[in-house]
Amino acid sequence: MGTMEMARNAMRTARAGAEVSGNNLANASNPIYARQRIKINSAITIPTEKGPQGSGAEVARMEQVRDKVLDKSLISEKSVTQYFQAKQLYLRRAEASLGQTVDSQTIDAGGAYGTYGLAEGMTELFNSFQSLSVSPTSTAERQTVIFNAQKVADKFNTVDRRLSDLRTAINDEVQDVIKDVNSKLKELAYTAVNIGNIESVEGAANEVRDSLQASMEQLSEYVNISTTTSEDGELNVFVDGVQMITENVLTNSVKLHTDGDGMYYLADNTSGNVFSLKSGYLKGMIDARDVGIKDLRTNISAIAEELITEVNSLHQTGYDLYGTNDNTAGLFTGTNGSNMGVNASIISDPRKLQGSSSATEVSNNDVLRSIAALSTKTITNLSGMTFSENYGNTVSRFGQDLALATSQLNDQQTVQKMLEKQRESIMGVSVDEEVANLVIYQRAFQASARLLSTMDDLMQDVLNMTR
Amino acid sequence: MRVTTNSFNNDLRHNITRLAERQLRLQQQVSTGQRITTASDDPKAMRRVLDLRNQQGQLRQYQDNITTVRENTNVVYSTVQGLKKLSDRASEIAVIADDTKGPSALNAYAKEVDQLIEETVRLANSKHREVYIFSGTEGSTQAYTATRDGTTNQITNVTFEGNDSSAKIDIAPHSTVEAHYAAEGTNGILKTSTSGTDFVTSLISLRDQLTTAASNTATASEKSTALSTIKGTLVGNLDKSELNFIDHFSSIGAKLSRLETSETITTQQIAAVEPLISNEVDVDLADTLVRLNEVQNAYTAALQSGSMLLRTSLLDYLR
Repeated sequence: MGTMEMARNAMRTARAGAEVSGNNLANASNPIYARQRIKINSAITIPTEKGPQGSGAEVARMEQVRDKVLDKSLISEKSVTQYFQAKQLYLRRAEASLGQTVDSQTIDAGGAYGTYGLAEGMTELFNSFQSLSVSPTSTAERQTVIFNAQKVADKFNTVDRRLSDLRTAINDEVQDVIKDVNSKLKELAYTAVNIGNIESVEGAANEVRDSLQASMEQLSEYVNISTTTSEDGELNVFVDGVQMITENVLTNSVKLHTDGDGMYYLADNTSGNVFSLKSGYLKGMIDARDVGIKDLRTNISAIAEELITEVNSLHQTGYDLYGTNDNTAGLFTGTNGSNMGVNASIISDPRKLQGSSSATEVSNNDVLRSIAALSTKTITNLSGMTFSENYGNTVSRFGQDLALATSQLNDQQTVQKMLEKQRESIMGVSVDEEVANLVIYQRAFQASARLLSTMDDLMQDVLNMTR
Repeated sequence: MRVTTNSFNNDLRHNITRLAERQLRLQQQVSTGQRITTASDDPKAMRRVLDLRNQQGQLRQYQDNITTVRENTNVVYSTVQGLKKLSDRASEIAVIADDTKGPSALNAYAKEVDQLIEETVRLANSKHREVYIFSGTEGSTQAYTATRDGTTNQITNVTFEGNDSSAKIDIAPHSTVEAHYAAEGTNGILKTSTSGTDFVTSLISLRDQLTTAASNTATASEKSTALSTIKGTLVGNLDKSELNFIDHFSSIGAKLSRLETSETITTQQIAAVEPLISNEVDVDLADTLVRLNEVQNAYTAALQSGSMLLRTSLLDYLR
């Protein structure tokens, strides 16, 4: 009878194996699933007079195949990837907002520019002053100057507004992400408690552990986190070194911190300290908002400010075609990129453009030439560069930031991809492997069934002897 | 290495995405003919392109300036040419008007000279593009205002209302030309600081002397003084004016030739900048097309091999 019992246990074991394979196959396309396998132990050995005798096999446990080191590495690498991802995404948007492109396929009548960026705007403005200096009394040339001044002022306004809007949009998203961080923390603590509850009663909570790992990776995509496990298997989670989950319990949270300019930051709810994040999508957004885009906006606005100051201070020294000097009238109004405009009284009467250095000499072009010469004048407040040099420098430096973020993102994605590949090779489900395992378990089941029927036949034979 | 079912999918997806990205990028380059469009494509090249295009824009402007100055100078040139013709005729009359001519002939000369005066003042008050060309930098002021005799309505005097300043016009970096001309002044077209070069006054005087010489009421000595003034002073003065016109011809001619040279140089400079921009911006079509072809091949191969591998598994061989 013992042998029949052994065959029954073996069939149960083989069926369990087939079930695990079936579960693996069912989850073959589930990206967070770690394959499982059954651990088969030999059943207890029975000492007999002939020596120790085996009593078959039994399922010791079902285990997950996971590499904890790879899991931890991926938590931190995903955080870094998301940092570059956010930075690259928003810097690219800012580049589009700047609208400085090269189009050499232009078929415009002028032939000079296919696109209109600030570089073209400033060149055209100074050139129209040059043109006017040749024919200072020409109303047509005066109107061209005013038109180009309006165009460049509009462009400064547009760029400034777009960059400012982009910062606001990022800021709103920062707010949303901070809310998400808190809900992710809650989810993590809940999942960790679940694991504790399940495992104290039913053994390994494999599927829940998959969710836990996935949740930790999702959280790490927002902010840099670290995790530890206490001796009794309970989870501790730290956001940028500050403990949020203590032994499966949510003990702290994050909150929104608003600075004087209305910009949002992630802060520790208990101490109120603002985190200086190391990686994650949130840091990428904040960096793009507070460094890349802010600097670009400041630099462009500084160029506008200097342009207004330099042009106006020369304009204020001149006389218009009526021989009048208004030493308060500038060509431009406003003080920076956001509010730059053109003097309304000059727009309505181009003769009021003050280009002569003498009240009586209408064809005098001294002031106009001085303004035109600003195109090659080095400006102290623009790091001793000319307008176009400074703008070119700003654009190229921003381009370098973006190009660097893009290449860093590519490198980082390669690193993450490699780790994911390694992890997939360990924890991923192979359909071929599982189907082969199924065949093995099927055969084992069939063999045990045969053992059972053989033993049954033997038993029948023994029983028949007594007839 | 253990290969799982998802390994194929993930790898294939990753590779196809990357190849598609490269295809898109190369296709963009081929279709636009440009290697860079935005700053992040090549920040350093973008910087150089912006500088070069600024330089090119400035050069184009210098070219425009030169064109306008040449146009203005040509107008001045032909006006001076007109003045010289008037001066030629006046000199001729001054030479041929002597006591052998009868009063009616002298009277006719006087009338002709009067017309020459009118024409001179008209030319001196020429406008080009609404600007008086001989008023210096006071371009909206007529160069001469004429005082006329109440009875005869003849011009008896002219007053120069402009100035002898000239504005400078940039025709190249650190290179300027004087743009304006004055009827009177150190370098005046009709009157310089050298005595006797006052063309209009000479003409007025010639007319008046001729009128006196032809007059019925003048005495014989008055007539003879008039004719000797013409021979003694006015012929010489008209010669001085003629020389002044010739001087201006040569200086205007020299300026025109300088402008022409500058224009040629500027055109060459613009042309020289173009290939520099092209070097930075334009794509090497042959090279890019070959690379696009390579990527397309890899893309097709990835799709083909992927579709084959993905649909094969052990299940196909188990009964």
